[in-house]
Amino acid sequence: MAQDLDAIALHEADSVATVLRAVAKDEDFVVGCPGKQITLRAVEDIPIYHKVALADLAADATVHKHGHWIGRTTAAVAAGALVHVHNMTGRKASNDG
Amino acid sequence: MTEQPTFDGYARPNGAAGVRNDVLVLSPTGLTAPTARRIANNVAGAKLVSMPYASGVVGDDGALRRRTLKGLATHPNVGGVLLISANEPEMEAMAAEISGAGQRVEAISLDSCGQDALRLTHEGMRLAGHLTKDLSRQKREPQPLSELFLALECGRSDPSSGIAANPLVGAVVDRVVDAGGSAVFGETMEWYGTEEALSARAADDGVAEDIRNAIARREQAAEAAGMDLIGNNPGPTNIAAGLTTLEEKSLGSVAKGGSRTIQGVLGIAEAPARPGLYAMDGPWYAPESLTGMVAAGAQLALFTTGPGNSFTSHLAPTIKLSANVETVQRLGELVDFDASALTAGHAALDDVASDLLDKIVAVASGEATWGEIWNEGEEVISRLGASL
Repeated sequence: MAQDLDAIALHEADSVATVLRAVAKDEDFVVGCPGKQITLRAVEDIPIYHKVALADLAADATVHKHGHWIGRTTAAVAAGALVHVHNMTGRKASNDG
Repeated sequence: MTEQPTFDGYARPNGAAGVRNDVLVLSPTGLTAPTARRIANNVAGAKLVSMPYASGVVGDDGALRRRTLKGLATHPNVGGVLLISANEPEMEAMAAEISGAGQRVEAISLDSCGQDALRLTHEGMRLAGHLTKDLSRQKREPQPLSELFLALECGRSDPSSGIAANPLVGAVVDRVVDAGGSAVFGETMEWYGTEEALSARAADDGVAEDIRNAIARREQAAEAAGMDLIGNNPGPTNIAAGLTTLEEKSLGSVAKGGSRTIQGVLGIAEAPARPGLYAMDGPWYAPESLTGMVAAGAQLALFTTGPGNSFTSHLAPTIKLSANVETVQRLGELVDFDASALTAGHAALDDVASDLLDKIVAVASGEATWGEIWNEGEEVISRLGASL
């Protein structure tokens, strides 16, 4: 492997990656995607094992992880921003409570 | 196409391959369980499976009892069975069935020993000793990966499970299934929220419907028991650890099933008719879940854990693996495979998957797991209802 990874995206179709360590605002970090690595800049602090958007996501866009739909954004999310219960929701549960 | 690895296993008369060659002391009746335990404790290498129930287990429960006991008795890792029973007619029918399936079996009842549990112990030890002697002469031979049937389990999860350990197991399962082998994942409640993802991988519409129905039945059972599956799932601990939705949590669990076509939904302890990947509609608790999959014929289990979980199958060597850096350091003599390079960002999934496949081949060929060394194994037969 070229260099150590700071985040993993598990599938080609994923729109989020999971960070393997806390990443600070404005920090560049390396994401391991299937078959390639990309470098992304964090636009805010991302806590360990939380998700970060790999590209700009519109409001009410589907969020993919493990190659599947895991929920929808409830607001626009910029590439490099935290994707968590404050800006996404699932189908079965409303996680704002 | 790279050459597929082989493992050294025991060729069985019915064509299956064992990764162990155990003498199984099997007590289908609770009354003879202590005697069976005395026998197994005093014959080197003998493995005990006993059920604390018998008479009064009826209906679906009775059918599950018989199916599980038969599945364990005819398991490929078992080279010979000693049946110890307090129900002579049932024992004779079971012995005929086990023998008819190509398995060597000896049987002795409490009745035939005049209800003398000590005499039964004595007679049983001699029979188990002769089985052990005979099995010790059998040799391992190279077996193709297509003979392998993996049981997939997770217990005590943390963030390392969903992003590393379970996807790692999934990557290996894809390789084994592509080589013509088999795998099964259970724990139906953990499919909740992945109805679309799993049913999209079903071999046909009937299998897709079976998957959706299995999830719906567990959901109804949980609701009938007063559980709130939606409001607090993922819970506050999950959310604080980075999870957002039920779909995300469940996909992290079913990731251990890989990405290949799901050939069918099995009942607990139901053997698949053909090779491939299967889902088993079974309970989430690891002791019950593992036995259901092992009784279906799985010879080896892959068991992922986050903070640690020592339980293993008794008949199927269980490779315990964790991707949590702290866990693999703390539990060096309980974790068989260290996948923490994935969560540390030091290694790629495909490379670690190759190492895990090497470990599977080594264990299938005789390398002892920590669970085998510490005697962690048990088999726990599920109950579905009340006894008469």
